Amino acid sequence: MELKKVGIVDFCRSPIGKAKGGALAGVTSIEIGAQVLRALLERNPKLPRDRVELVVAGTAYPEGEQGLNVSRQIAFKAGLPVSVAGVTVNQFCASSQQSVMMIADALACGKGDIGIALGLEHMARVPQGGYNPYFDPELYEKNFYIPMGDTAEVLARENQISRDDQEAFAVASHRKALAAWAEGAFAREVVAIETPQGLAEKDEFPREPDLPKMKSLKPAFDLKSGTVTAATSSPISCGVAAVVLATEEAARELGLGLRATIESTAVAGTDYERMGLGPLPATEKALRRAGLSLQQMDVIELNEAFAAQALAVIRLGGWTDVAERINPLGGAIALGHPLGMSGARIIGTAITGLERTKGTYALATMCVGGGQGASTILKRAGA
Amino acid sequence: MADPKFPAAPERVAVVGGGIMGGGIAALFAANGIPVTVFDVTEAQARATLDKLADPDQKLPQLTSQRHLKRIAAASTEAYPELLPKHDLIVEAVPEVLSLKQRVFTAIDQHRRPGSIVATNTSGLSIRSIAEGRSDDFRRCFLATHYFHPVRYLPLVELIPTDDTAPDLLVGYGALLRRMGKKVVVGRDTPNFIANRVGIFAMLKTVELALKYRLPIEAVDQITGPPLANPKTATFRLSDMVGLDTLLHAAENSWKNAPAGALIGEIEPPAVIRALVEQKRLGDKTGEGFFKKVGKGEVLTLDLDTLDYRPKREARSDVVRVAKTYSRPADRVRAMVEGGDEPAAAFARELVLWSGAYALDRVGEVCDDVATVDDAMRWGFGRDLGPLQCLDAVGLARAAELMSDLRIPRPKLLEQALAAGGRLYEEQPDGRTSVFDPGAGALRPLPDDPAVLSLARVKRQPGAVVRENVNARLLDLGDGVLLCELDVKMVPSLNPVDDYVLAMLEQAHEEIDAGRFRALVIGNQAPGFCAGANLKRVLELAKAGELSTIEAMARKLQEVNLRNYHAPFPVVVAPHGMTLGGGLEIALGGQVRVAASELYCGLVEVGVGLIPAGGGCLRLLQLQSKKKNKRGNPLGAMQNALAAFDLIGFGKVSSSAEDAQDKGLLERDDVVVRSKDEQLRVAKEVALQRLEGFTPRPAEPVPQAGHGGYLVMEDTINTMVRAGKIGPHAATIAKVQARILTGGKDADMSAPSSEEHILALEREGFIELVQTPATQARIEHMLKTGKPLFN
Repeated sequence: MELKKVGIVDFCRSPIGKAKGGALAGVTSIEIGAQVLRALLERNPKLPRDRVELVVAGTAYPEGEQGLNVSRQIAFKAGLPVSVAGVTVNQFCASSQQSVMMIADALACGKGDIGIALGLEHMARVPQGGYNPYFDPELYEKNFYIPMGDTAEVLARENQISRDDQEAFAVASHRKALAAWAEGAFAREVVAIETPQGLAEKDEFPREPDLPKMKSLKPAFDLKSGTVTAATSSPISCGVAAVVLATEEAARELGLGLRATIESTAVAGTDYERMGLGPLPATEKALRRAGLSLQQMDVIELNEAFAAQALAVIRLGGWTDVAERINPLGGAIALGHPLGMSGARIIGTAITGLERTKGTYALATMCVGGGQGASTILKRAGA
Repeated sequence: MADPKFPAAPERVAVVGGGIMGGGIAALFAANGIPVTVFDVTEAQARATLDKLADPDQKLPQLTSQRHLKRIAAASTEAYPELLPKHDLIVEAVPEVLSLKQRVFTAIDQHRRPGSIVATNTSGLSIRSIAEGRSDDFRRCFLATHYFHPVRYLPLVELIPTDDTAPDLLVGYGALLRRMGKKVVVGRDTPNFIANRVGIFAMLKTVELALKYRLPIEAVDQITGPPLANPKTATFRLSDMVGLDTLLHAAENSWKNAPAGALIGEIEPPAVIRALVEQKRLGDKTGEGFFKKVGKGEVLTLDLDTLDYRPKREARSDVVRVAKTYSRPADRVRAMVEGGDEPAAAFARELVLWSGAYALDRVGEVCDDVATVDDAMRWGFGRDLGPLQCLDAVGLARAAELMSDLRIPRPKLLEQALAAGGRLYEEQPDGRTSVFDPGAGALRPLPDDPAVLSLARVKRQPGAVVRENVNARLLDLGDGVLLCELDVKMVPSLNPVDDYVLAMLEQAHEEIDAGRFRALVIGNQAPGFCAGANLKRVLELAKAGELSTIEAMARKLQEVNLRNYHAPFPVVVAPHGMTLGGGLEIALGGQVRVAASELYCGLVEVGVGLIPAGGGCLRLLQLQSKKKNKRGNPLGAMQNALAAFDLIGFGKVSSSAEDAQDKGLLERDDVVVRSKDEQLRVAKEVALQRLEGFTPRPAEPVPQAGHGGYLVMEDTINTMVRAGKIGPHAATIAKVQARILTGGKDADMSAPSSEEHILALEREGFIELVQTPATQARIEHMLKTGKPLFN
């Protein structure tokens, strides 16, 4: 069976809000998701809704308002017909990158023409760890459940990533995000969300960095010898992203137009105590499958779980010579990292970046708790 | 036209004018289940009042539960035509400007439903002037209420009728306020009414005498605090809290508007207060007044002569030291007045006698009777004794003698009371109090309030005391209901639970098992129900290594609580005020609680390095497991454990009984009463109601999160230690806590635990912790300083 070429028709997302006290704090993932999906459908009038095969939603904690197969709920609430199937997947932070991958794989195999990936997370409304967490004693003994902040400390310590370097990285992330907003880079990507208090229109985290204040912060995870602080970690946030995928064939037939094609995808496992390095093995696989090299990537979206973690990937992976192509519009430290949302978000933002620079290839990659990485390689349509 | 009948409970109350007083009054009605509309010039302003009520960071929240907010609506006064007629009680609380109030009432008069009650809230304006020009119906339905700020915490409300106020209205309004937990006195339309009038005189006299005796501010506050039966805020500290501008305003009102020709007249506001107000040194609100806050915790004191600030100086006085050794307020007052020639004593003597004489001279002017003056001063200013009770403490004959010595004019009433027996108050053999009645020239018993159950009176009934030991007693409440009263005389403020208390609880079962009674109520009328275990004893035993004795103590408390919980007869517990640690465990050990609204309860053992081991962990875990989600499903064992951990691990204390229900420290079905005086009567009624068709509470399985759940909590605790959020001993305590709440090492989620199992874990954890030097250090620190040590 010959695999079909699959591409991305469109992408949009909510602004990323502060999960506590932000404009979206009181709005459920279901409601944000429905508004994002509705906006996406409305601005793609040629997209025949009954041709959508399935909606796959990714969330790191599929419980509470993110449980009960939230994908199906959002799809219906947004106005998709009952004939559209809904699936919810969990791969922690890569959840919605996995949503994209699953749809891409299904469409490539001829199982449908169009699919929609959703990524969602409300990190305050659904508690981190879920409502009734449980640890297996044997795995616990092996430190399998190592907290994320501790993995960042491991990488910082082992790779001599200083607190200064981490702070400089965070400052750069904020500056890039502020510049991107100032230039209107996110105009096509971000859709406003209606809340009882009014419209939520902008990402809430990017701000002019205050270095002395950053330096005054206590380490967030290891008071005695740690270097990772709240300022060099991605913040507790909320938001939803949505990606429409279609086979090239269907897109042509329906006159939809693709913004990018998916060249390859990969997931890979790595040491769970150094989970932040996950992008390296996953990217290696994805590049090999696409027959491309890192140097050919014009835009790299590397999810910034922690500054120390992103810097470890860049240094250990030998990514320093492409460093200026990494996160040109700012990364998760500045924009926020609603866990299950980020996978779809960085794929979309990678396309935004490609279109701005008229580049050809982009890499979207991220680390995953428990020791995994996920990577997707995209090619701008028409490039 | 028929007199307006006051409704038993208004259906909807309008509060016109938000702000601090309006918000407090709205919260009061809402707490009592009555819907309220707050009207303000704009809806946004009215909403601002609601937002303030909802603010979770207030030091003294007016609401007892955020749940009550949904009963309060906001509206603009422009909506009067449509909305105002829907309200049968309209309370005005706009700023104290006569013309403004008159304008507001013109509009209210125009739109209100005839027969609806209208109350003005004022602290001193002339009620007659406010009502001037209003319709006949309005004036018959109109009176003044004077609440004290903060409304929730100060019980006094002064009710002031006009000549036109329908008599039924006055009675009905008073009854409503009492049901809502307020203390009511009826005053007359005179400047500053009762409490503020008498209070202002005392304050100004204090300043005058401080200058006369050259006593510094610290000394004055030391004397005019507990030694003279006043709260610790005494005089100057209280003035700074109230605000010197407010104080001066009231003082001017007395000085300018009080009727002339009194035997003991008003005092002109002294230069020092005028100067401070002119310089905007208004007290807490401007950061300086009689005291000035500088930097962290440092407070400077005003020099009354130079009006400069100087470092605080500890006041020392022998007479104060002696007075403080008396536990009864009256004994303290007498000790101060009879304290000899020391300036502190001379000052106290003059102050007590002047204040008493002035107050006695006001009876008949500001109110009808003697008790009203004292009631107003106790309920409005938190005093232990009013000025007339202080005269009684000194002895009226002796007071008269001292007044003559000090050239204080002797009021006519004093002479009358002297002639009638020489006392203003007297306790009757049946426990009732008689008060001097000026009209009759004799003492008359105060009327009984059937809603109130007073233990002081019960104890006077022959045979009422069934059994008694040094710290508890059994009282016959009648109708087959037995009360176990916790009454630890050595530490009445804390009422710690100890062997004596537990023994008495066991003996209560003996009495009931023997068929002499049918139901048990556990309670008291002390300042607080019970603040926990006797820590001193626990520490002594721990240091001596007598762990088996400690274990036996914990076991005894568990057994007593378990026995109450499953008793074959109703067991009702009546917690109020401070109900901490073992106190809350006793409360949760009952089958149902009748709690006073002002309840500050929590399992706070963590503060002394321990965990609850009297069944507290067990009952709190069960309480959490009763919580359901919106679809009626249980929340899951781990959520229950985490919720209980949150309450116990952080030693959370409720800010009210309703808050305790919200937090999961009390059951939803527990009864909350507004008035502490009525609490035991209601508790008795609840006990009797439960007799019908009574079935003992069965042992319920306890859901447990198991070892996997424990590991999640351990991991979180370790993470917090690494992040420096908690210390090493806090982590040790937290892990013991986690072990108990998840069911221990071998526990599995699929098999619910038993009461006995959790209780055994409690004892084991308690013994494990009490041996550690770090826990012992925490206990020692608490006993020494009254504050927790974080080690």
